[in-house]
Amino acid sequence: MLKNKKFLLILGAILALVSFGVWATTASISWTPSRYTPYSIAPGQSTTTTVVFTNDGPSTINGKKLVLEVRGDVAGITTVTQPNFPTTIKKGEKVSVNLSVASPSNAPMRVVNGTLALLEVVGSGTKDTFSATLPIEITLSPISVPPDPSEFGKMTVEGVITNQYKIRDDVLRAIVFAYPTSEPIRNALIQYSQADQKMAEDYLALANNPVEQKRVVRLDAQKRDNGYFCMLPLFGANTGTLDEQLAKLDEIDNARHAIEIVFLNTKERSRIYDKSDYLLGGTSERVPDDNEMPALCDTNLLD
Amino acid sequence: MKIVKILTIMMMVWMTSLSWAVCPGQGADVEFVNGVDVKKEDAKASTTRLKKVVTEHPEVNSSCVDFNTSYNTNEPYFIDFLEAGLQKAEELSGDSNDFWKQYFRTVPALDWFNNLVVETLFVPINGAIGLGEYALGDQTLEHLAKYAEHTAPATVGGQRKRLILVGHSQGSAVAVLERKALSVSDQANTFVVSASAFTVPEPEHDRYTTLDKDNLASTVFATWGAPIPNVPLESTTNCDNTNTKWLCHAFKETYLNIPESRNKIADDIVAFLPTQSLPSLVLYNALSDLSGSAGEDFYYSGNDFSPTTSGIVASLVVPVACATGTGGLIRFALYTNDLSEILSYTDYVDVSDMTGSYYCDNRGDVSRRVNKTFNFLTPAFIVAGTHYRLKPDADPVTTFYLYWWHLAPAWYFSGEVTGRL
Repeated sequence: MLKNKKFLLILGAILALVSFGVWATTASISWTPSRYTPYSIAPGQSTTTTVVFTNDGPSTINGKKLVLEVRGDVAGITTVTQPNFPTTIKKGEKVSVNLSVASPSNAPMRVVNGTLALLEVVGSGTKDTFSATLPIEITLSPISVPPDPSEFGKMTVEGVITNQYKIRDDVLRAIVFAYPTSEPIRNALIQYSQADQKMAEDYLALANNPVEQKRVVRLDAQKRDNGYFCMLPLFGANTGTLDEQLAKLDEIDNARHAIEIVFLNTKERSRIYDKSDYLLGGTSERVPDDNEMPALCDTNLLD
Repeated sequence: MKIVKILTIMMMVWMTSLSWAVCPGQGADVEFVNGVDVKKEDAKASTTRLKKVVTEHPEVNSSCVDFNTSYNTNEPYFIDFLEAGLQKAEELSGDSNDFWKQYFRTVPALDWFNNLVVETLFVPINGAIGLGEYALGDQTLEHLAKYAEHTAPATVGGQRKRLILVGHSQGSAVAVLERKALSVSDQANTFVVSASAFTVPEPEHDRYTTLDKDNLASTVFATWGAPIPNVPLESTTNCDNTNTKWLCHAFKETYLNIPESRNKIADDIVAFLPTQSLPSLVLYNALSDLSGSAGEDFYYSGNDFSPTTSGIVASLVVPVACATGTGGLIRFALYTNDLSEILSYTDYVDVSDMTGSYYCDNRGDVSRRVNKTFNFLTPAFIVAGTHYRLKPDADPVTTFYLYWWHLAPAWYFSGEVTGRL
């Protein structure tokens, strides 16, 4: 009897340890996608998406009362539909979750951040963090912009390009956020950035043919120059007193530099920029007259 | 057939004299030769700014001067600077991008950046110049070919455009070297204007502007015998701060912004532009030579006129009847007929002596009108048969009454004018 009791105590202790181990490790879930960063949402518009979490194990999640909660600033514009959580979620099993984001009709242009958390409701009704959260970043913008590629966008020289203009998404975002109210200026900066992007691409693609590389990179640079000169009438840099015109040139330089700094946001990108710039040494090109500048704006940026 | 030939020859002679009259010496080609502190797009932006500053000069006819960006790079030195700069920026802030923010001058340059500029760029470049080992090789050859193209004579047997190289920082050394690489005859037609000069100028061909507070440059230049600063900086821009060293060395941000240096650079360039005496006096009579209906007062809305022969506008003589108000300075602007472009302004003339009852109560009295001469600051070329407009451009507190159609001669073009371009 005493032996049985001892046996039961040991067994209970083992079960308790095992159970603790199971619950301790069931919190390992992963989200797909790992970040929710959709294309921008215009004022008054909404979007719905499905994200998935997976029980990565090592054990079954069993008998937990789970609930999803949107946290942070993004909670004001995002709703989550609570799924019917199965009683058990086996290792490797996926659970789909619907998220809806709605932008208020008067929403200013901004980026809203937050997380989607999977929580466990414990005895007293309080909620404990149960797993890793899903980061959410929503861009509210009247002009369509891609999501911020963040550090992921810096992993390759080419970066992330999902937009129709074929410039890097982070660069396009910088342009749109800098000039949300002027489409012509945005377009001029896009034209400028397209040439920057093309210079880098052509420099790399033609590395085995230095003569052709120099010729093509120089053509790309001329297109970038056109983008610059296109900006002068758009910023009003060709009218007014000399001091007024010079002040407008300063504005253009600031706009260009702000975009250029985003463009050169890794060491490797900086090196390629410098090496392609080296190919431009030896050129001598004319500054166009004021009346020639409007025609230098590219009217078809989607080519 | 013979008549056609004669007419053709006459037309060619006329065209030649016309272009000569507009652009003496075939005009000029200004090439901006950048320093190592800018990349191509900022070199171009510098040239654009230079063009605005120079063409604003009253003695410059903008249609006679071309502006080009003669871009040079100095990769062996710059690559060391870049690598060290990216590394240092990453170490200090975790973001290599801080290097570009300082390089583009969007934030003040920190001490480590300024020191790096001196150590990896200025000292080695100046050292190479001092040892006579500085060369850009193929880039110079390309530039020389471009200069020949840009200054090519417009007509067979004509003279070349004058070549003016405007160099900044390292570019000033490049400019001097490039001039010396030209043929002897082309060297005589080439001039160098430097900002933050690296090399000692030859007075006949070179002029330079170095600010006394261009501290980044002066600490290095003194070692290698560069010319001493010749422009004291007295305006409010603060170049004493260590964080403004990089900014205060800049061509477009500082040298072309601060009035002391900006005006000197423009004057130096203009001094090298070709000059000539314009054709002698052509007198136009308002009643006989100009078409247009006679009117009394010369209203603000302007009058259009169409001269019957071509010539240079030098001065305008206008009978003034009366002027009221507290001011008294008036001038004229000469416009194209659609008012889209101002061809020239006259200087301001004081008509405050025309106030009071003697003139204003009796402004219909021809004997009380006084001829005032307004000289055009930049003589403009007038083409016969083309319509132009004149508008008084007055002090806003002045009212004045000008009579012009009634009195002859009221309207003069040209005169013995000596001007530049």
